[in-house]
Amino acid sequence: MKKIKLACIVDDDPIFVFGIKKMMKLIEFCENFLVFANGQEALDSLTAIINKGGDIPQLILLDLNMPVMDGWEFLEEFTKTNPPKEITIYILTSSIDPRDLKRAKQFNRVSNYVIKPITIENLESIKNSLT
Amino acid sequence: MKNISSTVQAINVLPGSMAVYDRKLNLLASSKEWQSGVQFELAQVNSSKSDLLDRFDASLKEAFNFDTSYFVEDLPAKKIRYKYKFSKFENEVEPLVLAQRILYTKPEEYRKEELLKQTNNVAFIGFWELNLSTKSIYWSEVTRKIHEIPDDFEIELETGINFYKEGADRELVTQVIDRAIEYGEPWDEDFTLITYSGREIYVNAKCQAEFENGKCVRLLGTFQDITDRVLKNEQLRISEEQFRLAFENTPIAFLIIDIENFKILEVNAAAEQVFGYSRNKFIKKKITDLYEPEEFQKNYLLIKNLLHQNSRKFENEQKFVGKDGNSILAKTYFSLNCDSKGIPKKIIAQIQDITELKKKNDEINRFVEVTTNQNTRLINFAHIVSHNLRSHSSNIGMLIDFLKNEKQEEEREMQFEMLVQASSMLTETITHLNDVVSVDINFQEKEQVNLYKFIENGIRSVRGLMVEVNFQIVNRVAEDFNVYAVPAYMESIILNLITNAIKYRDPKRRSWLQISAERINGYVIITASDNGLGINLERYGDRIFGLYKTFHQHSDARGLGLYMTKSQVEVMGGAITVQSKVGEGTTFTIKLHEEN
Repeated sequence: MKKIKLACIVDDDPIFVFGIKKMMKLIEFCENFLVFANGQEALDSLTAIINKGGDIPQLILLDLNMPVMDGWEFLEEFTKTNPPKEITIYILTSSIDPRDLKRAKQFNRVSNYVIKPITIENLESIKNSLT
Repeated sequence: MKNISSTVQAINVLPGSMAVYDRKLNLLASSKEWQSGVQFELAQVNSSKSDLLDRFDASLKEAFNFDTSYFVEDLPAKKIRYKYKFSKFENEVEPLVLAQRILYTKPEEYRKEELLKQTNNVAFIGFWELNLSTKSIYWSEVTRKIHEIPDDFEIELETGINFYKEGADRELVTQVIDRAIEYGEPWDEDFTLITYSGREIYVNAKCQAEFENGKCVRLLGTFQDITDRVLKNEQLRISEEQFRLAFENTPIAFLIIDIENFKILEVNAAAEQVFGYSRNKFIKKKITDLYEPEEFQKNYLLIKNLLHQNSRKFENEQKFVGKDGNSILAKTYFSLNCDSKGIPKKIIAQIQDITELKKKNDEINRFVEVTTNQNTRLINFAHIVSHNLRSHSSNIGMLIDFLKNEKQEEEREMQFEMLVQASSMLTETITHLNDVVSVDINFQEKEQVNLYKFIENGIRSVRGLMVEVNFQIVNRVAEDFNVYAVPAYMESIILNLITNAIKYRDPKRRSWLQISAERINGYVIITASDNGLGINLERYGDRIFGLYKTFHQHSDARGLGLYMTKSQVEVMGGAITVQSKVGEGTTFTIKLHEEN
């Protein structure tokens, strides 16, 4: 089974980031990952990588509620840059507000909406869908 | 032939139409004219010949009992009437009766009577006649119809009177009949009548008395059903009464206005109540004198148009000025009152004072707004609670899962440390949420609080920090400036504005915050301006007051302060707005009602 080369986590919660990284290592989810604490950091770095022709992540796991730039704003700004098709975006949030789910569906680039807590099983099915 | 005296026989040669009968109704003698006339005339009336002869005989017999009697022979074909007068006289042997025939109604009179009868039939006016010598009553066809009596009903004086409603009506008719007989007084009265079929109707009866030799011989008059007229009059009276009652008792002011000069002609009690002017003051004014100056032109044109346009009415809301200079907001309905030819006569203005209603309505709207805001906040709050509690609980769950299987001691220690952290964050979140929800739930009463002192207290509580970071706060509020607010909220709002300004100061500048307040149009406007970092409002505009929304990379930012401030301001019925420019500073403006 092929491994994901590069996965990107955008989340401001350090405990969650610690946890998901640990799980990812456990199931050999990917070779490398990028972690950003909010939308702004992710947007700045990813645009730079794309522009320089560097390694682009195959997957972005995006939280919604974050300081400075939240997940929605990131989606708006990032999709404006017309990112490469290989990048799959998953929303990963604690929000069960139906208004958020409805809003997520308006973004074509969002492949799925996953509600926290994330489990190893979740991660495996994400991995399978990509490889 | 019987033996008769020569005196009687002399009749044979006397001029005029006369005859003599004995008690057995034998014709003893008759004049030439009688012989040529009577038999012939009576014989003409074929159909009721015997009836007529019977009546002739009956009248004749009466004369033997009452000295005098009469019989009228009606000859419609010849349009004449003969009157027979029967007079008793004593012969040497026995009482005899002299019958004289006189032309009673000449053809031209007869025609006139016919015409009258026809007219009366058409007009449904009945006749009646009371013959006092025969004590008999005659009712015309119409009179009989009005009484609803059957064709074979025999009418007598007593039964006639009994149709009048027992009590005042019957007493009155008896009285006026007696007086007519005694003094010849004519009368014209309205009565309540109970018809043969038991219906209660209203009639008018008129009466004239005929006298002969100082003695009343006949009463005659007309008889008319006036039920419809009486009922219509009654209805009219009731509807006029109802209109008058409505006009006088309605809470809607009615003004009747002259179409020429717009002068007020008449007002009702409600108008006096609404405007405060007495009726006398009103009628010296024009409708246009009652408007607020800025409303005058618009309404003047509307009223003028009323006279020239087809609609002839309009309704709108108008503002008037009452006697005490008070403003009256009213719902008005203007209409043009025209005569039967459609020519305008008067303008009728109906004015409903809705000043209080409007006030109440505004209050309700305000209340709805507060409630809607509160509701929106609570819905958002529920989702935020759910989100935040979920993130902590899922972290805790995840860490426990790890700990169950973790073998490495170093890793375990780290995970345990995180678990403690997650647990304390959960507790903190719950505390925050409790603070947030208590703004909506534990609403406290507003009172006058001294804004200057509250700001000074706020400054005092952050003095240490101000010195440390070299921050300056300028309290520009007057020392006696009061606001109507919930003290605890006001304290929290001010402290929040101050700590926010310090937290988001621009370290490259000497930082300051300036707070001022003023009163404008029934509102207190509190302004807090700083020269801090500023916020990109184009980007964050709608979220700046959102719960758990943070915009700066700042370790202290929790996204709670401004959310709380906004909730507290709104719960007090106020509003908060923000203006900001990145790199220049931020100004928060709070607007509160001066009074409740």
